[in-house]
Amino acid sequence: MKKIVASIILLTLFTTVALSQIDCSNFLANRKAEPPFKLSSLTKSAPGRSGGHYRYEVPLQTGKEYRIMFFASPSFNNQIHFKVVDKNTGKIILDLPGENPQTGNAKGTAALAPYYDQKLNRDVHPYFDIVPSSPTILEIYIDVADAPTKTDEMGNKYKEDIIGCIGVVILEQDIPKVGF
Amino acid sequence: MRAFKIFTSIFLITILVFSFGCKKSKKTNAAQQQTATSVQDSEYIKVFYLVPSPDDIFGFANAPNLTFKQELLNPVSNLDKYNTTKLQEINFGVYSADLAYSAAFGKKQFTKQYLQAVKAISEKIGLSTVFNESLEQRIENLGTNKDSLMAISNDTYFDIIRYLERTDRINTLALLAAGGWLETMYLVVNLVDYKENDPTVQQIADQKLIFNNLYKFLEQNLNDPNVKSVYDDFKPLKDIYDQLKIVKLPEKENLQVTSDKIIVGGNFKIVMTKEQFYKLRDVIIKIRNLLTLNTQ
Repeated sequence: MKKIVASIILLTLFTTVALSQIDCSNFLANRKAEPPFKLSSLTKSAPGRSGGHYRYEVPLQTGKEYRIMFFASPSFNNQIHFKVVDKNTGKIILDLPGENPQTGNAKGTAALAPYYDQKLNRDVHPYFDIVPSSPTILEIYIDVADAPTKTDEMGNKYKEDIIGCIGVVILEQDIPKVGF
Repeated sequence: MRAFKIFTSIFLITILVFSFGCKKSKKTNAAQQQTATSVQDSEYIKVFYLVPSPDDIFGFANAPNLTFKQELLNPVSNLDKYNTTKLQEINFGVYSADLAYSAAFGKKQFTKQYLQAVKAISEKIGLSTVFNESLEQRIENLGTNKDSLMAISNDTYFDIIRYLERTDRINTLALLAAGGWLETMYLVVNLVDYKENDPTVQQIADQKLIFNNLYKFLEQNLNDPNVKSVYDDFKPLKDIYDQLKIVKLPEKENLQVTSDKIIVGGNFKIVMTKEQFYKLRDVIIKIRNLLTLNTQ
């Protein structure tokens, strides 16, 4: 009994400390914008863990076009679900798994796994172009799947705690104003 | 033995409290995939309220009716007055906005001056490592090209943000965001007068959403007395922005976009009356001058 309690304590301590110490500040540092887009200061990365749920509230302004991309550490194995809601209208504008084996990760069906672009003749990381017709907040819901249950040599079941970084890259460019 | 039992009990209670405080426990099969729709709102263990940088808020140089006015900048000579952490951190944001404003108008001398101000204040709050040798060299060899001035201003901002996140100084980040937003608004409200349907006036009204995000970000960090103090200082701004009505428009002219783009936001407009505009301007000037120790 003492051994089990001690193991639980150590495992919990380890994962709590590990998550607080993981440095995600440079996770997106190498992501560059291709003109005419520029990297928006709304770009954000943060530590995440299996079974975790995170929400980003991203204010969007009119007169700009935004390109949104999602990234996650390989440790998550793309087992992350992304949902994006337009707060003004309440509409779900994206509701995608990280990868989608059923469609072979075809364009628009996965948020993390690259798709093959016939025109460019290469793999492309999924991106989503968004244009606000009124200022609004995008609510990005990020749900990391639970880690699989494993069994140790003693037959005890346990769940691995997967930790890593999750990032939302936001690019922006000015668009010509129409109307008033 | 007894000590072990006591330690174990205390530890388990702590872990239980921690777990329930952060999120509800889930008894799910490992193979089960969590989907967004199955998750209750209360289960979101962490919410990030994002606030754009001063340059991203207004894109100063692209707004036709915004000009450069030196007298609006917070004088670098004020640096010595900031002898509390609160004033240093909030004015760190203020000087960052002045830096972005100077760079956007291609003002090399001011850009250099405000880079030095940001550097000086960063030393006071323990962020001097951001200004490494390569950044120092870039400041030294600063060109006159507007794009290169804006690039160094943006790079410095990103480096600071990354450093604050890496060192888990979220309270400082909140104050930097607050100071940057406040100074940006101070500059803009002093550059325009109220005109109906003026795009810049509309942008000032549209700040309602960004301000709300900033206010919630501050709210998440009220355990820090400096953040709490600024949160209280910003309360009159919250009151004004809360009064701005959001109206649904019957129809809006179509944006010139192609079909593969997702249109969001619907047909809404944040309405600000002339009276509200001038009230907002007065409050912004008052708070900005209070926090920068400038006399009106």
